[in-house]
Amino acid sequence: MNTVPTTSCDEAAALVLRRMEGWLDGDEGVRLDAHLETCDACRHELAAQREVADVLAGRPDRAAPLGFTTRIMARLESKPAWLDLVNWQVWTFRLAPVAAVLVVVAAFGFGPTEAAEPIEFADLVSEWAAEETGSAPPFAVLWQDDVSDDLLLETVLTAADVARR
Amino acid sequence: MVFSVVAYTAVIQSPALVGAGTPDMSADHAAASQAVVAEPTRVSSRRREVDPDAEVVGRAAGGDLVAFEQLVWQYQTRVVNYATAILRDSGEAEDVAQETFIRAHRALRRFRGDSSFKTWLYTIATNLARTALERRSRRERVGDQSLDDEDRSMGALDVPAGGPDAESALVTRDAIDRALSALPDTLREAVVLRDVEGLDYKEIAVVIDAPIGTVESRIFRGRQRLRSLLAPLRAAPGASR
Repeated sequence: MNTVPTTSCDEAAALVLRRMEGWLDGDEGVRLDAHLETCDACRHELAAQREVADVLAGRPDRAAPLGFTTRIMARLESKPAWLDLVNWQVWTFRLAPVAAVLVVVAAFGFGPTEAAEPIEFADLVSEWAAEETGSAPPFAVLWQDDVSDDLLLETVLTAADVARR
Repeated sequence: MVFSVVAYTAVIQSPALVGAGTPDMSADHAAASQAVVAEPTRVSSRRREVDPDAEVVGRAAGGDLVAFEQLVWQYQTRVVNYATAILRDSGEAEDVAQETFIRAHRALRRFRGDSSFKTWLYTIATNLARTALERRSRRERVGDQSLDDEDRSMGALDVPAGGPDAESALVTRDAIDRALSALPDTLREAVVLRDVEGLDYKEIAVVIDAPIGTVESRIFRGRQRLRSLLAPLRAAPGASR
């Protein structure tokens, strides 16, 4: 003889909800039905849950007031221009033509240029001193690569003599 | 009472429901719990459905205002209706609904499509409605109670006889909303989302950010409490559509 497993009222409560949603499989349905046959309270609970759900489903909708969409769109369109900066997709899209022009100009507008001669620091100092004093300063030799030891010594002594005076 | 709330919650949220049955559980109870947990598992493992709004949402996220207007037009009644059922104040509900769309537009680029656009919109509306309710609650605490607030506490419903005309619909809706307003906020949200807005349990779980077991428990308890509050309406002819 087949016997249906007993179901407590608490378990039946969960099954009641699932029956309303159409989720019960065969075994669960059999168990719930067996329980409902012997339990008035659970039978009434199932009926009450259905009734309440039906009344709520029959609640007349409240439609959006006239001009609702228009008011929202007006608010969105009147937003400050600086907010566009936050919307990177908008401004990057708008800048696309500018970027394209820059690429074209970079590719065709400028040919390769000849490499400039490297500028020596010593030459710069000499030029500067010449502009200021009319002749290269004696200490300009300090920045030259190919200066001899004698010349270097002479320069240092000269500078010391100048400082003493 | 056979369906005790505590016991129901215990069944629905028991560790057994997540497959961690304790050794001392009876075989019947364990089997029942396994059966109870079957559906949430099935729901959560279901393949993600394609959002019917995905294409329009994509265009709106790219800055297309016409596309966004289409979304507002499509969902305006749903959001206004939902906010009204939660707040039972047409002015506040309109403000919340309007702000919902403004926030949605602002955040649209961050919308990843983990849920449908509709569910996401309800989530925003729910959060804004909660804020409005908190604000109202603060006002009430400092003694700024309006007549409408006192009216909200009424328990009995007077439902005039009438055909399915506009005025009757208005009265029916207000009667239902008054009953809903007697529920705690958490129960009202769950019941309204399920029975008024027609969202499924999985969607509701996303909107209120709670497990499906909690959603089921809240809906069950919400309907239990509403039974007596809606009794006059259930008896009235033409109360449901």
